[in-house]
Amino acid sequence: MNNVTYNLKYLTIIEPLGFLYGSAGRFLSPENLVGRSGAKFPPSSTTLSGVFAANLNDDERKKLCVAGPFWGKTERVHEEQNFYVPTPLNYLVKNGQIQHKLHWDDQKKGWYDEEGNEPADKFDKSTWIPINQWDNPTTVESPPWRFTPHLHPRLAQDQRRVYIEDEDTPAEDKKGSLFLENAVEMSPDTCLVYLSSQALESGWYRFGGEGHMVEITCIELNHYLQNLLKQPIENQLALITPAVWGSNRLSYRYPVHNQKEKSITPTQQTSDTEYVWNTKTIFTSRAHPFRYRFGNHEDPTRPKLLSRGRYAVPAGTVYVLEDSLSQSWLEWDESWFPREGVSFKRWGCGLALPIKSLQTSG
Amino acid sequence: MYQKAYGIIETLAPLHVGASAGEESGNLNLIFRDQFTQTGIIPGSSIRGRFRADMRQEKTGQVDNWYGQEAIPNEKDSTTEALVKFEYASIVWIPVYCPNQPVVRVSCPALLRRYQKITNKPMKEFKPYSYYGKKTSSTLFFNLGFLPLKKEDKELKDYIPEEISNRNEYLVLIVNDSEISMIHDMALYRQSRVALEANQKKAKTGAFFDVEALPEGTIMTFPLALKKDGQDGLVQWNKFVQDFKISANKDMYFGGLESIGFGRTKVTLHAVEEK
Repeated sequence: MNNVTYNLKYLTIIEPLGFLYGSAGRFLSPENLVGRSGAKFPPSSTTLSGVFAANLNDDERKKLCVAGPFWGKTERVHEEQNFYVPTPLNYLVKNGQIQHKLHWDDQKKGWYDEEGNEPADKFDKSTWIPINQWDNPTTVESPPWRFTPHLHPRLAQDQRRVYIEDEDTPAEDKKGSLFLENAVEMSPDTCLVYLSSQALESGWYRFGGEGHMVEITCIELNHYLQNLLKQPIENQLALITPAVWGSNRLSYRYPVHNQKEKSITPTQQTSDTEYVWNTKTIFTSRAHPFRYRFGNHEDPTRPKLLSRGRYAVPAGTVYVLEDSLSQSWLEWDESWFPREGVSFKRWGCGLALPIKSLQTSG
Repeated sequence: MYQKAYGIIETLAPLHVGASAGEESGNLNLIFRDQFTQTGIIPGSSIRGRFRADMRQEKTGQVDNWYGQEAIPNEKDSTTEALVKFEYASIVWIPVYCPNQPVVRVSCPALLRRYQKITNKPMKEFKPYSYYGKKTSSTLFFNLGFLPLKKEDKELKDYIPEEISNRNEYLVLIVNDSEISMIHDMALYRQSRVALEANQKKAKTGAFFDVEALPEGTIMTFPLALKKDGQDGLVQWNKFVQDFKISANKDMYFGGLESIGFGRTKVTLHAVEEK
């Protein structure tokens, strides 16, 4: 184990110059262009990591750490470094307002609101809160991007109409003529924001799929954010990025001690001592697929193999622990994170911030 | 890091780049619009396709070098990455007819900020209802009502691209981001199109539709990025301009209905001066 000290010193601001690529997810096929349940945007931190990796030398690359995705209003980000992070799931949002802040009740073993009730209602999903209100959020925003699927027809070379295949078409030209891109457009004056350990030179870069271009600028974190990231986490925390926990093969909902890979089958219940944390409860939702592909430095035209498909606990998940951790995410032991070539801590996995215990007396 | 460049498009005829098939509303063929300001755009892939086709016609043999080599069936690793990337073109100024003006060029802060970012011009605050140029009265009458002109902003002169015709002839005006879509829709060129049966006076089946297009005199801008180093050394902006055979400007056609005179534009390219 070569323990690298991971650090987050910069805010990387990504302003799209046009559209961005949004994956439509796993259910898209030529027969079915409407299944959107796996739609994925913004790009995960591994995407940005690739941009960094292509522009850093070997030594710098070893120290790289990126965390995200977040987004912000461009002017606000530049002026006061305020950006938006996923709302912790125990804050129930409706009509752009936080209606309830649930707390875990030890006696009744459940999540209750301020009056001790269990709200039964439908609440908004995928909302975001400003980081400068982390301790006591009052405003809530919905994401500022819209999917803009559009067709890129392939035109015939010698006339302006869609290329039409028939029996006489040579085999090498049979590639289909319609290509649907699931592009995303971000609202003007908003940008994507990531935290990173290094800075890139300001300029235009390619980011994400379909050759879309963005403008990247990096600014040093201000004191407020540095302190927020260094705040020790006691026994309640909320994830602001997706977290992959577990061994090198299996994904769990909690960090486990990574010893030598044992053949654990999911049916074999592992004893609790395997887990790093002694967790009282977890407030979470559906797991997200998490996958990346390393670039190839020797030959940039030939990408390396795709990583193992993993499942990540979604951002916004809240953990309540029995014992206090007394460490900030930056200080967390690297052995809590899975490794596949590099530690998943490098992708800012499970970046967590402390949340105040909302428990009311009685 | 990519080299920065941008293009300016001035439409010399109505321009119709359609929304995807299947997005027509009834038999009105809509133009492709930006989701937030609801103003017309030309997707980057349409611009790229036109540039590529034009270069192919020049027969310089450089198309695959600039736009990437397509996959060859049953051959591994036959593709190469394009050296030049395009993003969509958005409106900078759209001409709107207005009694006794007769034309006002209108824009909004969101569109001008994109132009400012692409061209690397100095930061500036764009105030709604500020204007620049000759005015005949302090209120303008658009179809939807009266619009009071507030403050003259001489700096707006720098935001009218230099290469366009009649650059200083018309008033330029900024409206709110929320108002531009309404004014833009008012300014669009619309036409009903019909084909008749050969031997009786009735419309052919399926041959009756309305089309909307950006009016002539619309000014648009798009970013264009060039890789710094390609397969065989440094990529030169001048070489691209040379291979594309664009000297000062070039007439190019975008979008549909070319056969009835739509889509002719004048395009100029510029490298961005890095500060």
